[in-house]
Amino acid sequence: MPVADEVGRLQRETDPEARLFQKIAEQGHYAGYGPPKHTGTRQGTYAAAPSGVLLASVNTNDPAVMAAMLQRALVTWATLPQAERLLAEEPKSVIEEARNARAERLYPEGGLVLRVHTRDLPRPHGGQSAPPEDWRANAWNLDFAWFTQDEARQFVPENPAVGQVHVVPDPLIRRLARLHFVDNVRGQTPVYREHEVEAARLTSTVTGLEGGQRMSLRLEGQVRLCAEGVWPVNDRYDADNPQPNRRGFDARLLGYATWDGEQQRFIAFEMVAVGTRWGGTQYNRRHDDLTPSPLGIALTLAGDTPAERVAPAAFGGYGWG
Amino acid sequence: MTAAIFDAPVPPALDDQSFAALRDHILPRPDEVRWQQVDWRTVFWDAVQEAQATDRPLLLWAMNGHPLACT
Repeated sequence: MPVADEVGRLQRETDPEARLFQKIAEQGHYAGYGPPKHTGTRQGTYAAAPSGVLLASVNTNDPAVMAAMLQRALVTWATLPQAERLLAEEPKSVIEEARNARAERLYPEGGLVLRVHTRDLPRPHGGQSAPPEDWRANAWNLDFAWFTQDEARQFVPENPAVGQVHVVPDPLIRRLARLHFVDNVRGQTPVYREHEVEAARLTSTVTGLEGGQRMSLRLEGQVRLCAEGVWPVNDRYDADNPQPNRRGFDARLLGYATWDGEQQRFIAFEMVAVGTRWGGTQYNRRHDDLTPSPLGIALTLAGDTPAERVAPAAFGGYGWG
Repeated sequence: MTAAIFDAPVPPALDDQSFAALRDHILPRPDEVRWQQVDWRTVFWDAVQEAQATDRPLLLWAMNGHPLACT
């Protein structure tokens, strides 16, 4: 039964769901890890019986190591007595406390949900961000950006005419910039704070009107984010001696979208941010790549499958409660 | 066209002509998202209940940041 979930809540909370995870994790590869040299994370891949008996675990992005872990798990599962496989009591059908703790309860039905992909762009003269055999050379990341239906409407003019230029309200583009135009290509990084947004603007120009309902838009804008802080950019290797650093992203935005007035939603939306990033933070693996280099971000319309309803990583910054 | 864009000064120019090439470079290729073909449940407890009901083992991928989004 494959399941993917965020580890922070599971390793921190005390409800039955979290306790079962903690039981599994404390038999696994990071059992007993903690500060100061380790963050205490229990992230990784676990094979377990529903009872909480660990079958095997590992934290790796090496397919061969992962396959070997799965083989070990299946062998153990095959020999595990039935009585040890299952929870003694049926799991409650709903755990309200855990459900309410999840940001997905606030998924913006009928709104605008975007996939946000980040990736390094090629460097001049055939240069690469890392040696070809290094996973970081091909790294990319994915997040989701949410806008409520009311917010999505604010991307378009109320009484459109071809050629009209509409200014997307500042709070929307500033939130997008602060929480999503971050250098997470190689790993998570903190969001920007409000005062670290030096520029953020986005306009939508009406390029077509079809049947009075469908509106074609050209999106254009700019962001500039700059921050200073003290981060151990080499993670646990300089955790005891973090140094002052700077980081930022200076980019232009361009995109195209189609608004359906009848459905009151976007039926097409794609936007690209291209610019220069610099600096690094604790977990984004830029310790040997701190100088300015090109970064690209692509925002495309998401579907509404369960996997596409996962909340934005920085949902706490949305202020939605 | 693509090569010309990336030979340009840093960062590449973003305009109507370069948009598609830049977008396609950033988006993952099909071979980079094969893991999305797995029918991942997105909530641990949902999978526990299903595994308990069907007597199957759990495969849990747990990361700092949801594994199906930003980790």
